[in-house]
Amino acid sequence: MIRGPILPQLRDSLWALVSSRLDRIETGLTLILESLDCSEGELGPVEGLARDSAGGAVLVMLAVEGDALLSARALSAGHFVDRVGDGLVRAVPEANFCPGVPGRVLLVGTESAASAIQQVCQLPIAGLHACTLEPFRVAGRERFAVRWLATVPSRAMPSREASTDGSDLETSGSHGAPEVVGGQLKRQEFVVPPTRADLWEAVLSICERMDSAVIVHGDRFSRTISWNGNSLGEVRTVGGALVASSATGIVRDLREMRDVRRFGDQLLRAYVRHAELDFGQHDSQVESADRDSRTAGCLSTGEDQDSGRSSAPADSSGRFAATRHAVGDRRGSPIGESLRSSLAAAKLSPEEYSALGDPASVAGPIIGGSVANDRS
Amino acid sequence: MESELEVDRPGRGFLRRLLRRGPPEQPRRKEAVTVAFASGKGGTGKSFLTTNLAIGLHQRGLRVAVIDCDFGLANAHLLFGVNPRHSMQHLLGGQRTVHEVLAPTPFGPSLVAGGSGLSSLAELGAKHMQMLARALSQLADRFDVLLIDCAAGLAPQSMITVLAAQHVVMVTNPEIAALTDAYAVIKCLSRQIERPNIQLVVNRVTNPQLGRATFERLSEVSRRFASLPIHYLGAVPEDPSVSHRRLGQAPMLLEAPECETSMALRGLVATLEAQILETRSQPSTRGVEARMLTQIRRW
Repeated sequence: MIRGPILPQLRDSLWALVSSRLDRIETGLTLILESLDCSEGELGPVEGLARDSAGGAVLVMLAVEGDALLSARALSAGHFVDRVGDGLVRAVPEANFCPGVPGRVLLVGTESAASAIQQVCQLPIAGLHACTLEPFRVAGRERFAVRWLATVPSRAMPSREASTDGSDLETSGSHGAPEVVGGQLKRQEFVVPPTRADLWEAVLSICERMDSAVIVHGDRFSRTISWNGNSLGEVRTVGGALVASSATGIVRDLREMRDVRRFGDQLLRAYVRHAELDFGQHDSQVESADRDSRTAGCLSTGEDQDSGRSSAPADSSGRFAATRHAVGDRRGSPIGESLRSSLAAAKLSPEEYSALGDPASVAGPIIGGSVANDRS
Repeated sequence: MESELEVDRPGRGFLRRLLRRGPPEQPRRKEAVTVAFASGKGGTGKSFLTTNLAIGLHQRGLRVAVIDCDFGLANAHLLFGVNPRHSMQHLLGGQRTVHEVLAPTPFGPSLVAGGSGLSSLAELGAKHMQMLARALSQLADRFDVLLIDCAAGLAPQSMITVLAAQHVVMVTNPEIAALTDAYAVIKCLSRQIERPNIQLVVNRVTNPQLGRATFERLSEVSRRFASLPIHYLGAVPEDPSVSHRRLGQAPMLLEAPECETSMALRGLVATLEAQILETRSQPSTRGVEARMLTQIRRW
């Protein structure tokens, strides 16, 4: 018998699955506490209290088939979040909620509870986000995809005096009605700190100019930039910061346009590599030099990658080029090592001494000290 | 997760700039080929070779400048028989420009003397090295070849200068001490991202076979342990008259052109010139300043 993929329909089993993978549902979503009763015991507890990437409180609720109190509990949870507001910051100090960030209700259910979720989405619950999990089986293992159904923007917090620069978050998109197309959310708004909104626009502008096939997708707190299925980079909202990570693993905080340009440079290098527009060793050499400079981290020489002369590609032919070997050809020579590390590693081994024709007991090489003898 | 952004405009802007700097463009004017003379051990004959090869290259029609980077222990000006008023000390101190420091010599090549104001390499910081990089870049626009006489050993400042060059002439003697120190420098160079072309000169050989044998031993060890092939430029025979030369005497290549040493030097000049011309015929490479700044960053 062929068994199709299934998700547990019992609340406890489903919650065990969901609570361990909240970060897969929304980037940065972290479970703080389980079983939050906000209806004086009348409607049953909300499954979990979580913290999102912006530092806001998220009440995570499960929607299972046949739950008659789902709508009432969701309404109660929404009112609780709206009523308590910043009170959760003090009441749950271990969560490190950011003051001024509106709370939300996240309703997670299976496909069998989709109709119930749709009903809840019709209710006037501020800050409600709803999604269903669609299971599938691949390579003999069950996985699930997240399908977002609807979202209602949170109300502005009544008092924002406690708001700090890092926690003052808003969505980058419209604050009007959610864009729901055919019962399915067309796009997830990307939450960008207001002070970094122009930087995110600049990143999008770079992506637009790069290639028409470059796609930006993701959830509320992250955006992945990809081309033809290949990830070029990622931008995340972490607290009040906008953090970009390139395909090569370089992570930088986007604080000013210079950071955006550097990130754009990394995006383009990844794009050029994937699109096979590579120009030989140049990119790898420059990237290696980047890594070197980060490893050494000591000097800023003013040599910008975008400056013409220093960024001109190395020659790729002839005797000179023939002796400049590919990076991968070298043994025991890590790319990111500093010049001083190279010098320290130049000490000869006993085998090398022996091969040069001298007993292994000879002392190591000179390190910058023999210049006094140079009277050539 | 749903796709959000699908843009249908063709790529332009950043991408075009990136693509433009991909295939090397022919420069309006070629920068000088940079050749560094290095050694692990002192006293192997770097300055002797630098001055004589500079004269030889000049005789073959190349515009040559010698930069004495053996800071504090410089003596190339003595071998050229000049006493420049300004030296590297003034250049790195910011008191003179490189063009003011550059001095002509009676034998053709121009010279940036090393000076004696800086007592050691350790006094040279990143700022000094950046000034040197800028100066080399300015000189590279005026000459065909820059010959850099580097300090012996593995001091970072010395290695930065060596790594800024396109060709490195490694000078050694057949003695085991000089050989092991030369290998230490080669091993250090082998660990770099951009590795220059290394040419070996064995100085003070007592017979012609000794030079080749020394090279083969060093080449084998270098290939086996450092994965870096080196090339043989040639050997210079032992000549007592070299070490007994006095101040004011003309360089060997001019004063005794028919002696065995001068013949060997001319052979080195011919081989080196061929390589310099080949390098100059290649598409433009990163400039000497950029190469040096990269190394300074890695310091």
